[in-house]
Amino acid sequence: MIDLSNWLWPGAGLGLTDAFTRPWWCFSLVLWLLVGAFSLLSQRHDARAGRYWLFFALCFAGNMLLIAALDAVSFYLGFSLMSLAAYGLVIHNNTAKARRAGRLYLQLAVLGEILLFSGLLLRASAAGGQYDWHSWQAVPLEPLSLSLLLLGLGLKAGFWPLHWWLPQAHPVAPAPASALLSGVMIKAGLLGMLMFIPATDTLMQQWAPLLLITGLISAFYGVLAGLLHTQPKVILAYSSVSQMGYLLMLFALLSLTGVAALPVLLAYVVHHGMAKASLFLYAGMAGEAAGRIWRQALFWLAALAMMALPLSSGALVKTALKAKLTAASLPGWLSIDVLSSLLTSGAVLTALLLLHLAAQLRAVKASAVTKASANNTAGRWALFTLLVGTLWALPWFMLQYWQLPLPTLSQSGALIAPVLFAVLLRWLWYKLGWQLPQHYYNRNAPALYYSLKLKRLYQPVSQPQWHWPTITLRPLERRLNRALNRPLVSTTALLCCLLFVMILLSGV
Amino acid sequence: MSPFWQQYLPLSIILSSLLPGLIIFTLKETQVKLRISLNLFGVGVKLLLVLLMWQAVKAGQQFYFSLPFLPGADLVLQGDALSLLFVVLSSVLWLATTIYAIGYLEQSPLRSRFFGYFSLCVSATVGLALAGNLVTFLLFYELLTLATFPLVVHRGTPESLAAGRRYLAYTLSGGVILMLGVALLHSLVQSPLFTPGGYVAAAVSGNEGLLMLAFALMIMVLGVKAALLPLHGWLPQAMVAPAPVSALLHAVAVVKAGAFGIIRLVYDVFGVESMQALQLAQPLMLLAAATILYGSWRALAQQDIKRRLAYSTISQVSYITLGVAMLGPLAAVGGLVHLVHQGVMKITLFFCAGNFAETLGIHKIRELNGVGRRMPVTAMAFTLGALGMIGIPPTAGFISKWYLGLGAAEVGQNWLILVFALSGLLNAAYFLPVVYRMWFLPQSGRWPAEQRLSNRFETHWMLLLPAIFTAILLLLMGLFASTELSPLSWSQLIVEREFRHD
Repeated sequence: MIDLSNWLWPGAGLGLTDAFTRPWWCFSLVLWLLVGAFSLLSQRHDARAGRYWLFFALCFAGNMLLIAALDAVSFYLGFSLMSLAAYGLVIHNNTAKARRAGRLYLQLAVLGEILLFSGLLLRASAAGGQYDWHSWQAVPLEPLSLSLLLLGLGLKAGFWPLHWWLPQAHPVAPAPASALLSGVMIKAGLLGMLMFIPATDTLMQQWAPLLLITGLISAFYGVLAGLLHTQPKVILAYSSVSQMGYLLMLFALLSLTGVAALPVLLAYVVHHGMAKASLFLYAGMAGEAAGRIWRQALFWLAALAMMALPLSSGALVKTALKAKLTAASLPGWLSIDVLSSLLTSGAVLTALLLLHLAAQLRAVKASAVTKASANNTAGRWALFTLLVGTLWALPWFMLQYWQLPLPTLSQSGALIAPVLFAVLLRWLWYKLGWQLPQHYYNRNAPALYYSLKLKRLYQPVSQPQWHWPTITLRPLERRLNRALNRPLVSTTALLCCLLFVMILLSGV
Repeated sequence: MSPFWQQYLPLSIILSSLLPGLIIFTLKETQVKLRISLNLFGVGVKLLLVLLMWQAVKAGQQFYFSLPFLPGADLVLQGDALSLLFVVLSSVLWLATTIYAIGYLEQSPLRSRFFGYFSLCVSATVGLALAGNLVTFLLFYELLTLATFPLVVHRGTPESLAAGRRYLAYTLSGGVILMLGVALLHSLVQSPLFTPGGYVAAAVSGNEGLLMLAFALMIMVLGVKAALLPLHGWLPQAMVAPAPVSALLHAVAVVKAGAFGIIRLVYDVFGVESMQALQLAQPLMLLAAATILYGSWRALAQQDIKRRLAYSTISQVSYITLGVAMLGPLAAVGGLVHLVHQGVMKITLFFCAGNFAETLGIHKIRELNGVGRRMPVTAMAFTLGALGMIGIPPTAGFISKWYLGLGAAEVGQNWLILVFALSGLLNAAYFLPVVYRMWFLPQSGRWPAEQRLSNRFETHWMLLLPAIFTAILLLLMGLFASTELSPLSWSQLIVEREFRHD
């Protein structure tokens, strides 16, 4: 731990002293470096590469800082640095669509930051001026500060109903940037919740079932909305909304199981980060994969990990999630059977979404891809292979460090069944040509409309304004001058009056 | 350091800018070198003296100098921690502004007059900071009004004359009322030295009505300069003044003089206890909160850069008033530190606005498209200032907002956090689009009136350097807020001394 409170802002301290910040830091660093190396190749022919690297570096610094922060101010600094710099990545392509999405992103990012700021203030004040978040763990939460923190951090984490910017901003950014946005940066919201919302707090335990339900809705909503889109990166963004729903469920379970769910949460974060980053990178290179079986196989490896095929990291975390859910002390109105059957159908939906994604990726034309040298292409695919390889090496780490249980045979069966069912559904769907009417697909998000309305509101050309009645003193002065020009008597009388008033005042 | 010498230190700090100013009036227009060296000599001497005084006050020394003036009210100069906060701010920023003004007015006429009044204005500000009692304060307050008027109307255009008339109408009529207020207070409790904890406490019982009246009168007048809500009208109009003048008006001299007066009035004349006993804080708090939101809201629709900055000042200066009115130690730290932070941030923004106007002829916000490529350093400084105004760490603005927010929670006024949040949103709404235009939009057409002021830099180095200096300063003040040199530590020292007497 580095204590900087005598040098930098008050209370400043950095360090990786916790069970969850250390793996989080390592995982983020690995992903940032891998994707950074990837960007070195993919942005080589980018005309605005300088800008890309500037914002990339700022986001990187912010992200690493916020993980290592031991106090609220350092976290907030890292958080806002990352949020604001990510704007540069979102609008990097500089298309009208990117600028629109960027505007929505920035509006929500600033809103989230202000909410977070207020929440942190209230917490710091409740903790008696301590900025160190470890000392906040024992301070009871209030409804106001809890909701401020949940909203402020949730806007970054992007679960339903705070997901508006995700499906807009992730697809328009360059592929490596979206990989980082979806893979690491949105997790910062979750990390903030872990730091600033003590899981064992009584109020949090009361709210946890609600969060659990919200997470479940988010998990379903993300998939269903994703199925209605045909652009691969939009589908992936919606998939992130759904996966963040699972993570929110785990966060709620943290309160309901008395922090026993922490290893599962961490494993899930790492798993989703790696898998989602791989898929986004692939979506950026899909055109190059046409007709090359190995490249497509790599995609399927990542997708299958996401679908939780046995032996993959997904299988481990999904099984562990279910186990924690059964172990949790749920309130009476939440039936565990309903929940676990919902989780199973959630698995079907996730698989369905990924199959949908695969179909859409096949349709991507190679012509859309800019020409790159053979070395460049080979390098990018090698890095991609490395990323997918890391993803498939994860189960070993999870078993080793977090002691997640290996799924039993029956559990494995329960994992395969939804995938098979999804394949069947997809096949039927394909065969029978089920389609919703065309206008249900690729609808514009209402969020963009409201974002524009908001912009009109804060960039008005004119405002209604009322003028104060202007008092022109000049005529009065003239009249006074004329009055003073009169014979001496009146002037004297005036002066006497003034003097009288002053004496009266001083006499009181 | 002999005691004799020490006694004259406050006086010599004022004289170090007053004497060069008076000499400059007598100079011919062509004696450029002499004028510049006199100016810089004055700045240098002043900074040196201020440094000496700062060292001594930090060690716990008090400075006191008095001249017989009125019966019962001497002319007193006093150097305590609070006055030093303002003195250091105005001296350091005077250095930056002087260099800037030399560059800005390089070819324009009537420079002797300008720099003469410029020095006079700073002398009045420093005198106001060092004033030891209300009568002295009043004297320098009026002097400041008179010294700034020629600066506002310097260009002599009908617009600037109108602005000057309005400025005079506001401030002179205010001055009369201030005198009334001071006289009223003097009749009740005399005019002793400013003391931490105030001096009216003994007279509170029995005189509630008159004390409240005196407070209201004085706040009204100080509110004119600090641009509190119904009395802010002169400030946006005074924007026609040259950029260094606007910078000085907004960051150091006039607006800050009002805010500083409010601080003095609340803490050293009335004191926290009397304020609470008379229930004067709540109305002031409401007024300041309303001004914060109103200023930000009006800033949204301004299309002129300097007008937008002016409305932003109206909003930001009220943070200081609000911090003071909350009457809690943490809020006081926030308010005091914002006095410095806002000054440095706003002066940066005005320097940059002046650079755009002088180099490229840009006055409107929509003309700023793509300026980041043409003038990257200035645009960067502007961006830093804007981020500071919004309150994004690690700029100075974040530190003051953080303390103000903590103070609001400390005194149990949680609704004020909502005010800060809303104002932060509004700040973002009117500053971020400007930043976006500068960096992300391509240049649209030719610059309105481009001048080539330098072969090596994007603009004249004398225009560039002050902006860089203050931009770095605002970053350092935010980053190294805990170090002993930071305004934050100094404000904490003031508040410690102030609240120890309660």
